[in-house]
Amino acid sequence: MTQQSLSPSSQPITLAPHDPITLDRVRRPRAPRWLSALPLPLLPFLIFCVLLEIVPVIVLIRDSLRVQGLGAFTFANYQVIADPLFARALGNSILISLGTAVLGAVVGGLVAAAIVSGSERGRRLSLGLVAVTSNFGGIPLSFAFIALLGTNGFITLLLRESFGVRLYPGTFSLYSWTGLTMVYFYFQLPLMILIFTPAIARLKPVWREAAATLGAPDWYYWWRVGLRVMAAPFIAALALLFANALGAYATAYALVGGNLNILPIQIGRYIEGDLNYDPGKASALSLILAVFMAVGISIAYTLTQRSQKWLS
Amino acid sequence: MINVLQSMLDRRKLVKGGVAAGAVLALNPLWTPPGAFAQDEPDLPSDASDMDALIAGAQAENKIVSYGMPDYWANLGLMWETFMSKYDIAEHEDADLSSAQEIAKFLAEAENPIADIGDIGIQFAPTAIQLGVCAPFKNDTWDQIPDWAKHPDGLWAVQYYGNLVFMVNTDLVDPVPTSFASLLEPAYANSVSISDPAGAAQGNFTVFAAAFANGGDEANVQPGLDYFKNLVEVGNLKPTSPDLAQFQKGETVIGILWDYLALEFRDQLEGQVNLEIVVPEDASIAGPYASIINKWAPHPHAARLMRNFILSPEGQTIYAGGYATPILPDVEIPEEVAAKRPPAGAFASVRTIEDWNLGFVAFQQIANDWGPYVLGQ
Repeated sequence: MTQQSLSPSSQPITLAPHDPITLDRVRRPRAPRWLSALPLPLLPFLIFCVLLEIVPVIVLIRDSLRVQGLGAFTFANYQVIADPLFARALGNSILISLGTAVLGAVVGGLVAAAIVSGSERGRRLSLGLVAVTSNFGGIPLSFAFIALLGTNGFITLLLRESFGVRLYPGTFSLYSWTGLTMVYFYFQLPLMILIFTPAIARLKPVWREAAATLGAPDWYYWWRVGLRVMAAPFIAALALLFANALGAYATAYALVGGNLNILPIQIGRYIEGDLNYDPGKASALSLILAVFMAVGISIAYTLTQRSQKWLS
Repeated sequence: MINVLQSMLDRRKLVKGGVAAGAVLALNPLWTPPGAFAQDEPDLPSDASDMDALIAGAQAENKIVSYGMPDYWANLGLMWETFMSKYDIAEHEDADLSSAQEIAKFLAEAENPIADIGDIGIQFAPTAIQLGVCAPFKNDTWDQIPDWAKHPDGLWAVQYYGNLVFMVNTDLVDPVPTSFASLLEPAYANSVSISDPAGAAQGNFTVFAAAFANGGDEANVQPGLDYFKNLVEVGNLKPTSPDLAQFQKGETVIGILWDYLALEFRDQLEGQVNLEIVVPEDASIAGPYASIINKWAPHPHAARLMRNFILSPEGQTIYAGGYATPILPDVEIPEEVAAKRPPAGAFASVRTIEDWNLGFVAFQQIANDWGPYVLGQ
């Protein structure tokens, strides 16, 4: 180090260490404002987000605008959604996601209400169980259902051998919209319970007591107060469940392969298929799907903000 | 896909030509047309007449990079090991890619080439030719390869193929079906599983085979689509996949798949599930895989030497050991392998697609019509 570079910073050392006035005047090296505004402990997470969320989205947008994902600039990739096959795939995806979201939200909402009204011990136990099941998804989940309800599944055989009820062929098939709905429901339900229980728990007991004091029966309290306050968090949860189901690929693919027409499977054919390899179209379809997910998540976010007013 | 890739290629040519012309004009006062610079290195052999030079060249390169030729596939682990020790080549790397990805990467990496050799489903050969990613090379057994299985100029050559078979779980199915026609019988309700014809070559070839069984050919695969539409309507098509896990669980009871996979699965499930392998009597189909050499290969001699080895009797026997069917007609199939395969006579119903330009169009038709026409999606 040269003498010159030392001179500005070496100055404080010569000052009396206990003199507060002098110390105040010392110019300590300070981080630039943008850097100090950055929460340092969050940095790894931010890098993670940039690398694994933002960069992929940018690449996706770029590839969706190029022939085959690597050629000349084009908008043609987005035209695939005009093809009835893909339009129906999008429709089917929205339908099954919305259907299982409503199913999951209604049943999960009731379960959450039951959990909240139960004892503290029961609440902890059931939320623990729910947390475990909510982490069970993807290919293992589909295989578990096949092992239970497939043509040679445990329940299928039990019903046939012990009760003479034949599920296959004809009565029931796991490899159908019904089957897919069941499997989706399995991962929607615990998610709903997990996100909705805290909201219900924040309903203030004083509201109910006030209503009761004024002579309102229980149902009247729920109708005029409880449900109205819960409406925003409920729809927020519903929108999250919708987005959650929309992107499901592994679960659906492991169960039904190409036999049901939903958008994630069509995207998979363009990326992994031996026949119609086209990352450009896959990217375009992914972005179309992402727009619908973004709508779901935005609704959830907005309504959560609004419900804070009542529930904080 | 051809058209899109073609337009991409035209653009690439244009850009390359422009850059080359610009560079030449800037640097060289004695201007020559850019075409003169676009040609291949002239000293690369296009046949195996000078083996010593080929081996010396490969040893100097001392490395080979492949796409879509991983160790686990069709006994390729032993193939690479034998090749490398035989010719004293130190290094091999593989990236496991699908056929379309291999071709796309050859092209995309033309300026910074990585891979030397690839293994593609034969239905992609016309694309590879149109995009001009292949280098010509005729190995020393070239004349023994059937005409349908090689490019006249040596740009690709089939190295092995699979035969489409039924694999039947005899614990759950009786009697064993023997033809596509018999699969329509009520005994096989909700029992027939195939791969996705819109996503997987195996499934696409299955529809092709059904077309052959019902009077169609490579110019007309509609009978195959009609057959499967009928199979769906009588309720015999089962939406599970003919893969190892589903055979093991007893979910897939009649699966249509390549014989090399079927034989492999049966070995793995021995003692758990009783499986019988049948070549359908009314028609089966050969699913060939072709060798392509990257025109811009960084190790061009090693790539050519590898093709020569794969297509030698020694290389072909190694493929046979992995249950693949060798393309050379006179290769002896190892006894323990022959004992597991259906009797040689049963393969008489296996058809080959002779014209892959037609075949390619048929493939697209099957992929596009499967959802809307057959499944009514």
